[in-house]
Amino acid sequence: MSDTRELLRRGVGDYEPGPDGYEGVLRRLNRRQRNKRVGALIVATAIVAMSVAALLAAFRSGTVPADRTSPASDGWIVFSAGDVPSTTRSTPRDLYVVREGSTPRLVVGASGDRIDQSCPAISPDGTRLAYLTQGGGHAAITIAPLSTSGDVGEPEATVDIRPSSLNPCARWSPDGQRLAMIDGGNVAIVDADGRVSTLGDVADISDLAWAPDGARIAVRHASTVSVIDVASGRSDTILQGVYGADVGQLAWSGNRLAIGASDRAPRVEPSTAPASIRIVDIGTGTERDVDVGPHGWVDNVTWLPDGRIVFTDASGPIYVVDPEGDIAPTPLVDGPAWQPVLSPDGRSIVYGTLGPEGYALFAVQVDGGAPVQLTAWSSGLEYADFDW
Amino acid sequence: MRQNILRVGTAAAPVEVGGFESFFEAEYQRLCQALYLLVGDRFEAEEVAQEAMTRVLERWDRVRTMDSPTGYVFRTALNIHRNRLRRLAVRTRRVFAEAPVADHGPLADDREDVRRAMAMLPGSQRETLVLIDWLDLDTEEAAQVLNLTPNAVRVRLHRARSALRESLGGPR
Repeated sequence: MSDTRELLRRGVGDYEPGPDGYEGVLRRLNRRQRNKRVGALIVATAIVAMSVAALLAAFRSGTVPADRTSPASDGWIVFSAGDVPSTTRSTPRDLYVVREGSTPRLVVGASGDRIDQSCPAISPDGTRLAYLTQGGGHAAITIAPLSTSGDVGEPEATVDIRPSSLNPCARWSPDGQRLAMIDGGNVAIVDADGRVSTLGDVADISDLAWAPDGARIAVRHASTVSVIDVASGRSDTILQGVYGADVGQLAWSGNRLAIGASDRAPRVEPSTAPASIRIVDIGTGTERDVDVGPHGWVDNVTWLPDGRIVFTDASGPIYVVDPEGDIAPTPLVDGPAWQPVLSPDGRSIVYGTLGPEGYALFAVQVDGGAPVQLTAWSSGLEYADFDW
Repeated sequence: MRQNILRVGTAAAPVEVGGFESFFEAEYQRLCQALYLLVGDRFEAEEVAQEAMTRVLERWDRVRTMDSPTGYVFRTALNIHRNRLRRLAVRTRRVFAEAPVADHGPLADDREDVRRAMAMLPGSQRETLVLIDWLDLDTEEAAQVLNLTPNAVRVRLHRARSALRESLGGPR
């Protein structure tokens, strides 16, 4: 018996699971409970509302109303989806493109293969697509051209990486020349030609965001937020005691950094705990809290061009808040919804949502209006991620 | 380093997690390694392990009082993996066949030899071997996990050990 035990030990070798397994478990649990709680009823209501809206639209003359409610149609939305029901996130996904009025079209991957393509990231000028490929123990970032017709060309570069299981997606620099991502807990910078370098020595990073000038990257590591200078790799601590369960806690606007901040709570807390968006002026060091109410936590923080902020919370709705005003956040989309991504013109967002028949992507204008369904309901979209 | 994250459950549906974190700390790595032996893919192993741990956490009030929470989490993981394979209509051997050699260094050859040998075992033998020789379950516990009689487990274990040794060039 002992020799077979030794054989198994050799089979495992030096393999150890990634360090963020516990966070992965909690994230799954939170998401599942959120979906159970608010899913079917709210989305059924939304479907009824959309049906009514569609009926009303049918009675109109057919011209586009001046105050149109449909999302902006510029740019393609690239999203990942599995072609089979999924229990785990590793069910192979492929990449599709869609925009309002079109049918989703497969652009990367093949149905039935065992390669998982995910994390699409469109370059700021819309000409290139970066995505994550995983399979057979390998993970890599691929960069490929994206045409105006939504076709993805042959890869220009492929870079092996060790992605974070919670936050595996790469982000383009504002000038579209580089990508930043979490690789083995550090920030990795990937040049467009595929060269990789580790930025600074900050470890255990769970979230990151490029500054608009492309010279700095904000990172969260454990409960600390730091800003790393890209040229020198030097890091400055900005904030400590920041908690949260999801990615997208950091968002820049000019020299200001918005940080989704949960209350300094113990590990177990209800989703109604106080939450806020802390806005730090990196130049002056001044900071202030925008109290958003008992939302448990704040993530997917996104600045709108007009200075408002979009965010999601523990329950799933998408909110809009004016950080300069005294008005409480207003729901833009009733939950459950996730990962709002702004359109290139800043007028609309695409988001994922849950309905009785599965998951689907919708788009809605940031000033409100009826959401527009972009994909059919599908269980293959449970772990969809997307970019616009 | 683990993030200081967390809220588990909601105000409407709180989850009692007392003791779960310790259980996770004690079992997660072993579970991942056991699944790695079974599926031959570290990403798949960690996905299934996290999903299994999530299900255990959802039922932690009940699982914590069981004789063998370890057995429960492994049974859950096995079910997840089997269901997943069924849905994908992919045989376990194909998983191994498609897994490229990803690692380099002195341990890589050894590891690949054992992984290939494991891949040649029938799934039931592989599960039995991992439960007993990796997770240290006794025959009775493994029998509960696999829904078999202890005698059937012993037979499978004997065959699995013999087959593994033989395929690696050792004595039967």
